[in-house]
Amino acid sequence: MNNKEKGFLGEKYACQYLQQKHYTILAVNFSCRQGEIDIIAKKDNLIAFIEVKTRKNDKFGTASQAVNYLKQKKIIHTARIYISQHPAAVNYRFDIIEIYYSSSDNYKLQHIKGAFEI
Amino acid sequence: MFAKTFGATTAGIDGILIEVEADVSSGLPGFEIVGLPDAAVKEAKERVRTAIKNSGIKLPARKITINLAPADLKKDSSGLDLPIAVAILTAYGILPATHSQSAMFTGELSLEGQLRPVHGILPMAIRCHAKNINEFFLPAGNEQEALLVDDLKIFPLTKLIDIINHFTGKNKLSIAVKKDLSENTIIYEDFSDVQGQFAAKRALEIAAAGGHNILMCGAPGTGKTMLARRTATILPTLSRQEALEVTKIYSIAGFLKKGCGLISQRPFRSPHHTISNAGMIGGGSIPKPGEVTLSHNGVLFLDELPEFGKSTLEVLRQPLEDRKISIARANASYTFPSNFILIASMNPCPCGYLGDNLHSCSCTPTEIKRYTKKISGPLLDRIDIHIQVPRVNYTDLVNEKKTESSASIRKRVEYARQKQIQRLSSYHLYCNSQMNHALLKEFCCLTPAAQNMLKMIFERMKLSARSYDRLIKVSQTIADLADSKVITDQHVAEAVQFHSTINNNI
Repeated sequence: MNNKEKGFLGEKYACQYLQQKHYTILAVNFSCRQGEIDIIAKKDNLIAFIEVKTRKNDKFGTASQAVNYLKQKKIIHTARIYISQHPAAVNYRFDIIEIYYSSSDNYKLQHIKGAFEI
Repeated sequence: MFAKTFGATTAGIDGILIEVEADVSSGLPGFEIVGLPDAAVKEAKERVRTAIKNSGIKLPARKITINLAPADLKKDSSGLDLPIAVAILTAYGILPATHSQSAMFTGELSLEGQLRPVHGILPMAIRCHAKNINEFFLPAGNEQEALLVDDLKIFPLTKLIDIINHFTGKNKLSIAVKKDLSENTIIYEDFSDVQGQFAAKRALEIAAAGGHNILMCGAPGTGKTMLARRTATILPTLSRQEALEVTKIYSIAGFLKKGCGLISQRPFRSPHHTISNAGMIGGGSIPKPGEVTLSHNGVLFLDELPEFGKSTLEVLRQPLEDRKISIARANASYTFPSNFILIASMNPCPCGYLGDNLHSCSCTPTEIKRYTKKISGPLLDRIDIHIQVPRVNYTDLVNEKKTESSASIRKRVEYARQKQIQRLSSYHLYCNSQMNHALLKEFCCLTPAAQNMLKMIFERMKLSARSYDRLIKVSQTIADLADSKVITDQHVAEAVQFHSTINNNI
């Protein structure tokens, strides 16, 4: 399995997880010139911009550490674009979902709420 | 939601009220502090956020904006952590908004949510009282300092959660009460330890009584340092007003001991001669008090005067003359009080034995000149009393009899000061050294014999006008010590012995 397939798989698991937690998925892979947001999900009065990171193990650092300053800025920029296209009086949050994958029935998922701010 | 509360910072030696405004709104989550915060206040962001989290309060991610007003003043106090936290909690609706107009907060937060004591509490408390805010929340450990201000309700806190419990009525905080902190200071140094040196002791007594600056000159090991260290013990006790001033300065400088109230001892500062200009008069981008301010209402002792940097000595001129020091920086100009008695000591020459009757001096005239030249005329001009401290002879040294104690000398000094205060109070002065030429003319009455003697001295010694005034000032102090209404020829004769012999400066 190459990295791209792993990434898609991770996003699929993340969507399943979010639906279990009663989030509504508004967009998957929302992209524009500034960058891409993996999942945009809504729950009650809150819209979460979620970055999904999938790894096999944390030998090279945890998955969430890979969301560095530059990546955060990109996500924030993209979020601004999304908000301007879909104006709504809600609160926003930036989340990270990290997934450690070894096989289809053996994976670990962690949802970091409010992982970063502007 | 919007919320406002009060915090404080210090500028110079005064406290400044800071309005801390917090706004929490929806939008992309973030935390912004505006209003000229410096590094310590910018970092409050992380401390406040973590402290709130670790106090067990979950704040939903929102856009938080903090404004510190007045916006044009640079804020540098870590004591703003607590008001920022309180403003945020109020804006989130966790604390009721009722307290915001009637309370002031100060304190540094730890990540755990504990409060740490901060500097400058006394000036903040004074400002708090002046602005009619009657509740002051501060870290435990700072309360005795704040209690020096009357009519203020002081609430010491140990944890951030205490304040939430207090305002939500769960667990009311108790008001701090004044502890009796009248220190039983054991004075280890006393004038009775000094054998011999009667002339030097007398000179120091006169200096203490009249607030005169003094320069002691003598060979190494004759007791100059020993004498100077004991001078603080013969100065009159601090009045409450003076003690408050001293405490304020030490509070800002961060030299106040934990749990300590009013400073009741006159400060004695003896900086090392490697001190920088900024260390001497105060400095920094936000000026902090220097040694001249730390010795306010006390003694500044400069040991080995010629070893000090030339520019360090020259910066002393303004504080010696004006009894305050103004430090101008780009953002503001600060004035610190610096009303001190300067006691300086020096050797007569580099080897130290010039004029000694047992050792021969090994310095060349050029060396001596270079050594004494380091002290400029204008500085010497501001020192009223110059004395030679000779070596102690054997019979005095082994004398078992205790000489006069500091306490009994202080009694005379206090009496003489009292007379001066009565005389000068209408001019807001309190000692003879502060009189100018006009006041000398008004207050100093000389007997005809004294007048004659002055005339003779003036002509013989080729005195300058300033030296003449100095002579009268010292004579006046001697007269006050002798409880005499007029200056007699005896007093003038004693005063003239204190003229300078260095650089032929008279």
